[in-house]
Amino acid sequence: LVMDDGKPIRLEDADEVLEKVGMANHKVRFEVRKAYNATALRRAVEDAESNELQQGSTSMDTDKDESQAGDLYQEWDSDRFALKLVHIALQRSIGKQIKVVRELEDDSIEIRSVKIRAPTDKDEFERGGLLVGWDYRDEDLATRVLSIVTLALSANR
Amino acid sequence: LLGVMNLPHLLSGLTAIGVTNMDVSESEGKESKEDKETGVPEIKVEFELHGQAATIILREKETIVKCDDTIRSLLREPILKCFQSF
Repeated sequence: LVMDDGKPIRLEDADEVLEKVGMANHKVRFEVRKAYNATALRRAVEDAESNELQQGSTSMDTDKDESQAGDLYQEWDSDRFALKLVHIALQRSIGKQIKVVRELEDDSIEIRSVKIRAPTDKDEFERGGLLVGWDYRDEDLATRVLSIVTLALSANR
Repeated sequence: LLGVMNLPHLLSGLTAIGVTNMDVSESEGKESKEDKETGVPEIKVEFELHGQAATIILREKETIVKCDDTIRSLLREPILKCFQSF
């Protein structure tokens, strides 16, 4: 809504108006570390797998289940499992309203400007936690995502 | 958000919430990893709050706040307040 001296009040595109008056949008981006207990996460996954195997022992797919479990423990990566858990939790809770994208290229999850990923060597964060970043304009969404991430990871402590 | 980030306001806002030791550094172009990626000069404010390390990177058109989730709510207000809007 633009109000100039001597001109009628009118609606204009925000970007165009900012350019006219020489003002720039300033982007504020937050990136926080959500710590989780990797040992407890692994234990929870092992327990879940153990339960699945026990249940599966009565089914015809027992051999297949055991081979999958073997691969799981050989290539254990807590961050990848944490991301997987978070992805499932996000899809279940907000996936019907907002597009939750799992980027396999850099192993991250994106929901609008919210990005969840594991820390790399370039990051200034210590390892052992997921990084959640977002533009301030998506603060409300980020708050919801953070609570889902907290619940998903704390349920495995 | 409109306008520019006011650095003195930011530093006094951080002091007000209990930050005591701040390391403020300026880089131009090639010195920092961030600049190699973006080619934009920046001011970096590094500090600790409640035992958690945090970094605020100020650039002409963006501010990036890196911190632990436990101190995010404390940092949000001083950062947003120090925006000098017109």
